Amino acid sequence: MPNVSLKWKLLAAIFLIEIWAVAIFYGYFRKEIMALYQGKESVWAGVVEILYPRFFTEKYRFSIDFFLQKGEQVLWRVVAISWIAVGIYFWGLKKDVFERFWQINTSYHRVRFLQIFLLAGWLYESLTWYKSLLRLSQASVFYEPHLLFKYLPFPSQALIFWSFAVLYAFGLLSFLPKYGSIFWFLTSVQLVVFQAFLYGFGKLDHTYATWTYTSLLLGFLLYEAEKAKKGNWVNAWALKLMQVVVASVYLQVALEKLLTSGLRWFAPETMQMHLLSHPTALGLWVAQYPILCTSLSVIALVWQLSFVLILFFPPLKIPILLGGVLFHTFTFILMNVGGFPSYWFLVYVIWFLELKKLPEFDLGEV
Amino acid sequence: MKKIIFITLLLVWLPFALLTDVFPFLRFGMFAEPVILAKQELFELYTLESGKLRKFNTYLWGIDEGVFHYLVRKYYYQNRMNEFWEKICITHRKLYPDSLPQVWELYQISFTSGTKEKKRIATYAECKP
Repeated sequence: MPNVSLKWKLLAAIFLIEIWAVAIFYGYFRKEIMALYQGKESVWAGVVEILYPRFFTEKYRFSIDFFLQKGEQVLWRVVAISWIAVGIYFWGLKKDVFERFWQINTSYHRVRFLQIFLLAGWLYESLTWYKSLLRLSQASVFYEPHLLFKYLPFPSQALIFWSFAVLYAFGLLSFLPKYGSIFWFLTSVQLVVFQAFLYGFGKLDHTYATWTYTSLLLGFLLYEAEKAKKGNWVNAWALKLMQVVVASVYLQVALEKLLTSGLRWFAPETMQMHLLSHPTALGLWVAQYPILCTSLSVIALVWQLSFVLILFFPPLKIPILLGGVLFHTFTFILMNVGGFPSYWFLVYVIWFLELKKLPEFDLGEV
Repeated sequence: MKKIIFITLLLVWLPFALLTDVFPFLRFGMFAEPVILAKQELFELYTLESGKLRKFNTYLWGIDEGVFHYLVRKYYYQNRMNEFWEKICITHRKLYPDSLPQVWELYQISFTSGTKEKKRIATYAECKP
């Protein structure tokens, strides 16, 4: 038997698994989706309930084709992402780009600034959340959480009070020069749990998405800052990861539109319908002009698609981020969605914290 | 570090690949569907008191408009409106035992081809203890 390297074995394994997955989907899962849609019994009902609970609501709104296309999309998205990931991995290994890409740094004080900035946002929101959770506890009969939160009852008003007291205590303790990162992790996890309770009534709010991701990753940056002494450089790979995650989100937003709707998304009716269902004075005025609606759709999608370029072409930073501020501000003005100032553009501060000079870091650390 | 980067990116891209939210990692599919498929609709609840129809502010139960629309849609399309009504009664009776409206009317407002249509989808009598 020829001596095959691990790299080629891995590629062959991925290829074979995906061939099988495609065959099983078209030969078996399509029939199961149809059975579930028609209300027949299926062993997969429980899995669908966990992974896609809205199926049992949405099936009354859409035809079977909608769900079959969704199934196919999942299959082909997984295949595409896995091959793109494999490609990037091998290209990165060969060209040594990973090391250069992740080797950025910042200062101790800049890390602390980011911590205060993110925490200030959370503290401000926590005042609203506290009231919202107290209010929602009155209507807890409607609470139907998913995944792990199924096992947690909606908290009582006393528990909500003490949870917030603990949140503020953890927030303060996260500034400790040692072990502060642990308290930050606890703070950010608690913020995720609060969001889970708020969203346990079915409607999921994307307002805090990138703010949450950035906060979760800040713990790693704080850990690096604790290792470095005050006044020294801090290894800021976690800051780079925050940037990659935020850029990934915008890329996903754009790809979702293209993959779900294709060119139909640019039809003026799409924007008109969103403007009519989220009415504002300016939005209703814009909705009257099809050419304006299509132009706005094109500009929004081109900007979302190009956001990822910020990771590879630093001179594009200012125009892309400025585009983001305008995009989120106009989404608010035209559709009253997202609020102002939006957390989505406030998080752009992560692009202004890195320092240019690059000391060498050992990537095997942590 | 490499493991953390790998796991983070996997979690961030998983909802995109699976077309679903994996809380706290979210799918960003809002506004992505073409209008031909995405029927836009809202729900409004009214009370009938002394012959007058008044829009009920669901915020009085602690439920804002966006959440209310989602809840109604879920119970309505799953044919669970009786259960929905029972839960409304439980909540309202608990909070406002002295002000129970006689009749409630639920309206669906849908937007199709740029026009707005409003229709009554349910009428309920007073909440019984």
